[in-house]
Amino acid sequence: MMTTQTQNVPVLDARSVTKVFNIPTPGFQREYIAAVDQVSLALSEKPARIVSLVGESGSGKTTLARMMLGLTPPTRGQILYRGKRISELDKREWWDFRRNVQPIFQDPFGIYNPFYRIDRALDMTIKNFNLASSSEEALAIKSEALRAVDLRPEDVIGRYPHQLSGGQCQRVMLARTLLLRPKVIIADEPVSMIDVAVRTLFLNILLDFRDTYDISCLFITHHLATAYYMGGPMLVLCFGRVVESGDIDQLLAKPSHPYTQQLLKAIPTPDPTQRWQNRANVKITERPLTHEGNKCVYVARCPHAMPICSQQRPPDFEIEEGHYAACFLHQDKPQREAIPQVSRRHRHAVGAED
Amino acid sequence: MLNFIASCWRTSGKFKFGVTVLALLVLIALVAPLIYRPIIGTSSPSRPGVFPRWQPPSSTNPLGTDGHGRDLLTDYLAGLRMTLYIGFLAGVIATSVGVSVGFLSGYQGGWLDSILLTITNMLIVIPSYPILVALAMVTPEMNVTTMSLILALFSWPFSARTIRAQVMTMKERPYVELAKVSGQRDLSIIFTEILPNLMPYLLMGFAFSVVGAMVAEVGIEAIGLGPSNIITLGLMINYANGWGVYSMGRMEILLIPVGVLVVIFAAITMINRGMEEYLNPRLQKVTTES
Amino acid sequence: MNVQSNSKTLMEIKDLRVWYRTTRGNAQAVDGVDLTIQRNEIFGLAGESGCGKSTLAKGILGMVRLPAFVESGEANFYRSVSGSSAVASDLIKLPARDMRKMRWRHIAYVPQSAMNVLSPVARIEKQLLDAIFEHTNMSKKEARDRMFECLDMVGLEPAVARMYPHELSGGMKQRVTIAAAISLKPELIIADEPTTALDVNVQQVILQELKQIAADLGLTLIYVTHDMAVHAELADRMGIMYSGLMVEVAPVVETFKEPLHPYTQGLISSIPMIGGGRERMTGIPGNAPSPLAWPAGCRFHPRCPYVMEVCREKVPPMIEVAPDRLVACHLHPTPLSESASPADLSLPDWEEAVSRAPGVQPVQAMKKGGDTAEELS
Repeated sequence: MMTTQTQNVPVLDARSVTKVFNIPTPGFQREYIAAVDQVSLALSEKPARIVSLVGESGSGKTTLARMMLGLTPPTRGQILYRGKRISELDKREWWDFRRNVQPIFQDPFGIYNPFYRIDRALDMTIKNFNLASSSEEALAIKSEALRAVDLRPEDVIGRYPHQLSGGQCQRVMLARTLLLRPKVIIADEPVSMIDVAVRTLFLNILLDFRDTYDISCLFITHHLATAYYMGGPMLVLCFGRVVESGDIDQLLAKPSHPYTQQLLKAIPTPDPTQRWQNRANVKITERPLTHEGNKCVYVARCPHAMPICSQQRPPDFEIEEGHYAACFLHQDKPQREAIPQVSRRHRHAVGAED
Repeated sequence: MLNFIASCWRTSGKFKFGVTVLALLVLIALVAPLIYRPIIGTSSPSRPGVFPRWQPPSSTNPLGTDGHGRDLLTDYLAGLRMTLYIGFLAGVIATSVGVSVGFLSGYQGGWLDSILLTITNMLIVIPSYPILVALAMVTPEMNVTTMSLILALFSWPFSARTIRAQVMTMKERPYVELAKVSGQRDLSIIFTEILPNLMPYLLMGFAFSVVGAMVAEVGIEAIGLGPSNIITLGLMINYANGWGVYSMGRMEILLIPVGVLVVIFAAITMINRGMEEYLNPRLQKVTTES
Repeated sequence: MNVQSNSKTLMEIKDLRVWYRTTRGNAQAVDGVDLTIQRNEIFGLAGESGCGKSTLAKGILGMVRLPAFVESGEANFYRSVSGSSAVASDLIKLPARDMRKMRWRHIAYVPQSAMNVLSPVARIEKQLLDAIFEHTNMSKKEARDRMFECLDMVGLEPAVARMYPHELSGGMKQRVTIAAAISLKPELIIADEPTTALDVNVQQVILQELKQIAADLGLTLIYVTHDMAVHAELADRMGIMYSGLMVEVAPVVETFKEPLHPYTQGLISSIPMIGGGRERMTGIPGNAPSPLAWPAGCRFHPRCPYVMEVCREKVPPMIEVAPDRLVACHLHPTPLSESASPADLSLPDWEEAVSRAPGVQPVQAMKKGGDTAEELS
């Protein structure tokens, strides 16, 4: 899943992307922070999969999402759409990219311009991508998409966002996405701002999208249990770096990075007979501000820190097939091969549709 | 926009008050000629010598006449009309310039923003009144348009700064990103996504500019630097002072224009406060939930 | 209300209503809540957005400002004066001055954002000391000692006292707020979603500390959050709110093992759990109603898979159906005092119930190939 297969060029492929931000500080020192630090991740067309990206706030997940959507360029590394760098796509390919890679954002209300009615988001998409040739057809498509996400068109069309609930607004987002039938949805914390009882409906729709329409999804969340419900491959992001990756069942059976292990222990379980046994470490330190490339990013908090952890950046070690952890605790295991960067000479995006 | 105004009306008593009073004044200003035509006939309101000077209130001159032989009621009505007009014109100019500058500054950022921001800030910091006076003195021909331009000069920076700040935050809003991934072009985004949400700030900026312009107008006229062939409330204050109405026992000649100005400012301020009450949830006594 | 109040009762809320004025009438956010809080317990107040739990917390604390107002009701706080005797004060009727004295000294508040309590322009120590001086007569030294003691209890170093809020992380600020809350040794702390905006690791630290502190100092804690897993870790008893009313109050173990109210059951069934099977969950169908127009009868009836005719017409009263377990549902009409033998109160399986309920359908799987999904009823 994570390795590139030549016959199956991934739709969206992030190769060792890094995003560096400058932090304005008083004085002449410039501090910078690598919000995303050499992250690689690929989303294929077949089979459609939901890839979960688990990270806390400050892990860089939103920055990564924005880079993959083409909203912000990476400082280093490449984002490839069907094998071609996003920055080099020509006009036709760019529209193709826009159509096939669509976002779902976190804030169900903030995503809509409060000035307009909510179905304008749908109209805008229909118009710009020429999905309908008449207003009757547009209405038909809109209604169909709304029904497909368990909304009644008469409840939604003509209403303003604040007249609907968070869950409904988020589902309208899904309806809009469905209009385009993208290959990939980038969902950044899509359910964290809607009620628990309504979340399941949304998640089920995403699963149905995968099964019925072959739509893959990059599902970004801080909530491990939700990622568990989605199943499939998972990456754990910590301070901008992928510290562990693999199938979620593998990670849960054998969490190999101390951060993952800590995360699993810290999650509250909804079962009062299984309360926390461990006592959490009280001295939680802040994120290191200046990016130092030659250290493990978790070294300040890690209970197993060794001298080498402060001297080198740990590469990915293969724990088992498809399961990798970037931790020197596993340095006896084979290292993963580096992912090559793509040259500038690529002419076409492979398989771009008209 | 109409929705916004309707919502402000529903929410805020202050808004209702301000709008009503202002509407009344504007109405009076608009129909003023109908009121004073019967009194002065076809001559211009500023023409002196139509009536005998310093007459007390009578049937021909409901408020009496002034030191130039003009009917006082006509003076005030024409003055109200002209003051409102100048204020409005200056407000429009100031807001247009301010919004354009603020928008460019906020949306583009970079060096353009730095330059425009510096200019804006300079104009805010420089004491406006002396410069206005100086400009008024050196302007060869002072008419309504020139005056409005001068008055607008120091009003636009305030709008510009507010709009700039708003645009900078709005640029980052999720719905702008959504528009981008839905294929909207940049120019379209500016007009359809950002501009409508700036309406409240536009209105407030406009209201402030109008008040600022009227205050400045009074300031210039009151020391005699405005055009003396056009009657404004400020000019009336100037004349009233010059004529020494205190000693004449006809204080109302001074007090009426002052009073009217106070009412105008109060109304506009109430409108602004009312909009604020609607926009700022913390100030709300009643929420607008649906 | 059937629970007898005695010296173990810390607070008794009777028929509390907190409404919001809107341009379309009154939004009845909290609409007749009865609740008893026992001393030294950790009480979890659960419910989703819009159920009124935050409004309830603010109502008790007298922090209700226009457009919200208290329409009616009592909140009797049994403040212990000495030994076992208690003085009752109705917090709703208390004048503002007395309420101010009550706050921090006897009832402390930890809000979701620490910046609702901390001022950004003063050092931490000044803020903590100010609070102490305002409510007690301690000397400077005593106050400083108390302050450092509290900071230590929440796991912060003494050096934190000299810092400004913006120099601290979110988790640390929240811990300062908790330190401030305990500094006057109040009897009750009300915490409103204090960890919702924080990382899972920091949340664990704070929750464990709160539990420890509550035990060490003999505090009562009302913890408000929509996150049921947090209640499972923290609470002794919990109350579920829906649409402005309390629908179930029971010890936390019973609530999770055998939820009595269909809403509680639906809520618990919607929580994804790590390690369980991966069957599709249904969640709770339908949408939460609006406080401007609550449904008639039982407010949950439009979404309830067990709905009966009576539910559409009559509001179910809150009854104690088993020792210390109260529920407001027509499925459980018999109070404990009247039931002859211990009844089986458990509800059928949620997923089955939802799939069989008429008019309340889960999302059908979409047909592949064709573009239309099945019409949903």
